[in-house]
Amino acid sequence: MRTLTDRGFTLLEVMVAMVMLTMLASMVYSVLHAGIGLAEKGEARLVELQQEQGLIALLQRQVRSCRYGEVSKKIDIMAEGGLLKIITRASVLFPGGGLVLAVYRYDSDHNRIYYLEKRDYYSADYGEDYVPDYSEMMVLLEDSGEVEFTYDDEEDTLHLKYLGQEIEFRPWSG
Amino acid sequence: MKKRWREGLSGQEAGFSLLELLTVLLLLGVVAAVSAPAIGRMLDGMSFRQQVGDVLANLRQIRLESVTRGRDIRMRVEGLTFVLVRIGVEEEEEIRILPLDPDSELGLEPETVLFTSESMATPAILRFTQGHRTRTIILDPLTALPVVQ
Repeated sequence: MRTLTDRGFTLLEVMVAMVMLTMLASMVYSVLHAGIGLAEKGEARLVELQQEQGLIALLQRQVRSCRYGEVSKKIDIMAEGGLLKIITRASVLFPGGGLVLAVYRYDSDHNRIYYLEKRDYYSADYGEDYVPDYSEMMVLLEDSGEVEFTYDDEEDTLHLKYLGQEIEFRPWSG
Repeated sequence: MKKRWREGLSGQEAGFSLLELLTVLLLLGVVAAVSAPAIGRMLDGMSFRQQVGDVLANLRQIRLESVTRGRDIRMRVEGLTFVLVRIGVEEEEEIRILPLDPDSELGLEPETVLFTSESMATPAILRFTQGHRTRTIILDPLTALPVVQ
């Protein structure tokens, strides 16, 4: 005589098993997906750290290859709050192309640093009061945190307040 | 009395009936038909991801080479290749073929980008497109690292 237990699985049982398997599979998938997300986050943080280092290294190079004004007997730096203007040979946009006027400007509303380079640094348009508009500059660093530049005339030192640290740049030091 | 499978191969108990087999085949067919497009899309997505990874790896390698060798490298895109010019006393040109599907497209804006030995790059945007999928890769000037948008 055939009893129920002899007949193998019923369709219902198989269906329930399949549903459970699908649920399990989707759980495993979501864990893996979260892992990929974390890896991407880590990579983004790595880039962020390198950018911070890159900014400091760039300023270092630009201050060291800054132009010395023959008449003024000073190096060509103007720093005030979130604004830095410097005439330098270390160009980002035109590497190896001679002197440029580099301008950094911190935008506190969007928390980013804008940057601009002018090859016609000698133009009369870029005097003491020259402050370029954000619209003609490029974003150098997003989410940069507050940046403050000051220049010490007597010691020929550029001070940078950045990420809670104070960094000094000198044109002549080795 | 219990009868076990294979015991007494007579009549209906010998295996599946044709109807049962057909039902199962039909069900399997329906499941396959429903999931096939989704699986196809998933495989396409994975292949796209892999190609983006290849492009990123090549960009990182170029950056690393310009830093370790202390030589500036100018790069432009031609079709699905990177053309590298190592700047120095003697300029060396290398065409690097990327392992990308022939139906994909690669575009660089502006046309050339310079990787400097100080691990910086001139700002540039690289676009990789395949079908309706697009990835925008920004070359960060401060680090010369590619950043996927």
